Amino acid sequence: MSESVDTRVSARELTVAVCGNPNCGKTSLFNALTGMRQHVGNYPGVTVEKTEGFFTLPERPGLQFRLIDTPGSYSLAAFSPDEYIAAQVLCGRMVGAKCPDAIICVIDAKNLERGLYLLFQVMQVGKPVVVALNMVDIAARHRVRISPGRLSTLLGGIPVIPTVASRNRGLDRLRAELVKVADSPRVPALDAYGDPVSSLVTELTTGSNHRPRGGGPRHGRREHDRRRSASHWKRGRFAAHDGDDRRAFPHSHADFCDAPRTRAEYMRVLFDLSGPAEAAYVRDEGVQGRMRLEHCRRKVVATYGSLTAGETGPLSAKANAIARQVTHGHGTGRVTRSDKIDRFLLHPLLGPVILVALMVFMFQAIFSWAEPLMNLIDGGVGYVAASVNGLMAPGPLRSLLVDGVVGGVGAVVIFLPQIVILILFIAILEDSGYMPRAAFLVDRLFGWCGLSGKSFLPMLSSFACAVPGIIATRTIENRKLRIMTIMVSPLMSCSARLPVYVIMIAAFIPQRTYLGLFNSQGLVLTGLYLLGLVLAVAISYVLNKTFYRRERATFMMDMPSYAFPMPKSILIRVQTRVTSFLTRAGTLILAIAIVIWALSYFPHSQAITEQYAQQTEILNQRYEAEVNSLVAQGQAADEIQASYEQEIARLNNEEAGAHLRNSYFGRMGRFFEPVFRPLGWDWKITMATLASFPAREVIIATLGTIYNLGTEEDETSAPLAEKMRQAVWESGPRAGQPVFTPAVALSIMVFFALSALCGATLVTVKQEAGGTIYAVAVFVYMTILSYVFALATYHIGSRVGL
Amino acid sequence: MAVLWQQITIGLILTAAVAYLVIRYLRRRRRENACSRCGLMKLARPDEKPVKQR
Repeated sequence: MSESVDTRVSARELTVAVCGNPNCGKTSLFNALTGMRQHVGNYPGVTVEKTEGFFTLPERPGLQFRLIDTPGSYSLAAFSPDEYIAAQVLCGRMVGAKCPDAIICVIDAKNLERGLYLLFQVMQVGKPVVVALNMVDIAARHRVRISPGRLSTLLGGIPVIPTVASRNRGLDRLRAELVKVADSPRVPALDAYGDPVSSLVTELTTGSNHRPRGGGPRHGRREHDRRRSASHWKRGRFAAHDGDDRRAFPHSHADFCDAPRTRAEYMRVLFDLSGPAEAAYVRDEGVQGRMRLEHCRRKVVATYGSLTAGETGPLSAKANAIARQVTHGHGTGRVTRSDKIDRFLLHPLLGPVILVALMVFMFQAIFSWAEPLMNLIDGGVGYVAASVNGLMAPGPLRSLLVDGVVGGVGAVVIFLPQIVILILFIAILEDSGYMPRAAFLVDRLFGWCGLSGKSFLPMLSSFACAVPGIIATRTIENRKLRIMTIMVSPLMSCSARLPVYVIMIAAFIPQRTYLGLFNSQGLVLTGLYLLGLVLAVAISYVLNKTFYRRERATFMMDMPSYAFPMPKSILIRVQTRVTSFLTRAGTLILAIAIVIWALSYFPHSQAITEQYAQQTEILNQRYEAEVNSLVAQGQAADEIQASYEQEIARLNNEEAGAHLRNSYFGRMGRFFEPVFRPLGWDWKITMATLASFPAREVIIATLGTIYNLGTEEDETSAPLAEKMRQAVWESGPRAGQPVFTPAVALSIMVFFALSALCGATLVTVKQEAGGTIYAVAVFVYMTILSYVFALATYHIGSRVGL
Repeated sequence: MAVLWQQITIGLILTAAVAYLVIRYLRRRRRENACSRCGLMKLARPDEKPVKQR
């Protein structure tokens, strides 16, 4: 029961949008078809942006499929930015995305009824639809069997293909259906809304004077509107709706496309009270349009009691009826394996204990498992430095290569094993389905502060990197909650902070074991990660009581079934991270290390060189005279030899230190030093911190370069941690005392844990929150917080003798 | 002579490093999303997309 329409693509490219409920496997299907490696995870809300990929089929040369992956949504009525993106892509209104020629609607076989609800709305878009009935294997495990043929018949003949996207099952049939769509596109004829809604929408459609964009005088204005609306969307404008923060998308329908409204969009005009579709419709149709709309709405309310009931009632009834007819088995009501596991993992007392134990275990592992590999990389870096030292004559170029490139980049690369272990753990937690459970537990513990479980998922993701964490807040419908989450997400310790923690802890926190299980270093690391989380909760509480007053919201989220993490998916994630880390080390860190080397090396005063050359000459003459005298007396010169070598080393170190102090970097450092001196920092730490604004890891590269330049390099280069332990104050009241004490190391770590030293994060805050003011606010409050906490840490630490 | 050669090489390397940082900064300012840190969430651009042939 399908009607054939002339939507055949003239070009040899078919644009296909992939849509479906959250966590139904859209991205897995997208990856399987295109060969791309988009991030997938076993929880809702992983994809929050549209993504495109391509594939071709050998049996159809010349035909290319452009696949658009969309964020998950339960309905085309968008309540959050990610759902809005999905609806815009499907209706062909998304700036920068091609209008789809066909749609793959992915339905989770376990949740057929909910998937059908969205499908019925998608069928109103007026494009050919193919249903991928995904995760049929898991449904079978839940003893749910669905008859695809019967389902297809009940849906008016649209193809229904059973698939298991994560295992590439059913994809050949799906590809074959897409080829059929390319050859003879058929728009589904089934209208699940039925009368009177269907006829009312037809009334709106026929009464509309909206015409497709045909160029002419309105073209310029529309192009202007299109750009303006796009920028409004980026600024994330919301407006109140029925007491809640519902997005008032500022688009006029005509702003985005040439095509007339689809029935799906007229549905939104009808049902979304005070929504963006209504605003656009009234703007286009004027007073008459408003009257027509009011008339239609009154009819819906008269029939169903409310607008919401007018939409959800018929669709839910139809979805329920179809699901009953095609489903066999008794999936619902049965206690599954996931339910049994949840009895422990979500237990009110046991659950939080297991969560904390998992975190502690993860941070212990980061220390203990990574050590052998770190030593290996450290050895390799040392070997390269020694080789370059041996091959080249002393001079600025050798210094650049050894102190700048190897000393800077090498110091960062050493931390690769730790990052791999962290990402490995996060990937396993995500893929196993534990992440939303962790959010649920954290919601129960900290919900009183104004955050909800939906905020904790982006925050937990921020442990890997704050940027995707902040972007993941798009799943949050409530704007106030979203802004609060964006403001506090950068407090989560991301993987870029890890090298700073690791080097400070390894060098200055003594290794002790407690209860035979926990070592002090792992506990300090856990404490630093918890510090960010606890402060995020406290700041949310303050924001909730001042700027963003809101009631505690109920946290509702699909708890996915537990799944054994797919090794391939985990490896892809780790490989992506390793590649990204190494690329970053080889580009950004390398470039910054070179610049910092130059600033720390030049002007390389000739006067200093000559002054120390004279002193060395005097020492040489004295040594020669003493040796000659001893030889004349027939005594051994071994003792003098050792003392001479010590003196030469001292002079060399003094010369290197004098050059460094006199360098541009040294001068800048001494200028800024008073600001950070109360934290116990010398100018080197100060400058390394300031230089790490583009990327946090740069502090390690900078310290590596400074301490290489500040000491005369020997053939066996000591690790950076060792050089830091040996560093002493050069002048002032603490001259000769060690710079790095455990209190100073803790103050550096606390500063890094809480500071906003990341350009990319601030740019993302600006984009996602919708204004520079938010980025400035994040930078200011985090800088003040980090300074105050680092100050307190240093002084308390010093008082207790650290 | 050797020192001059080294200074020229250092000058070139330094210029390349600074140029890279400036270009990177300017490109990132224009791009919609500034994330390159982790690769956890890639927002692929059209020119970066692989085409899979079965």
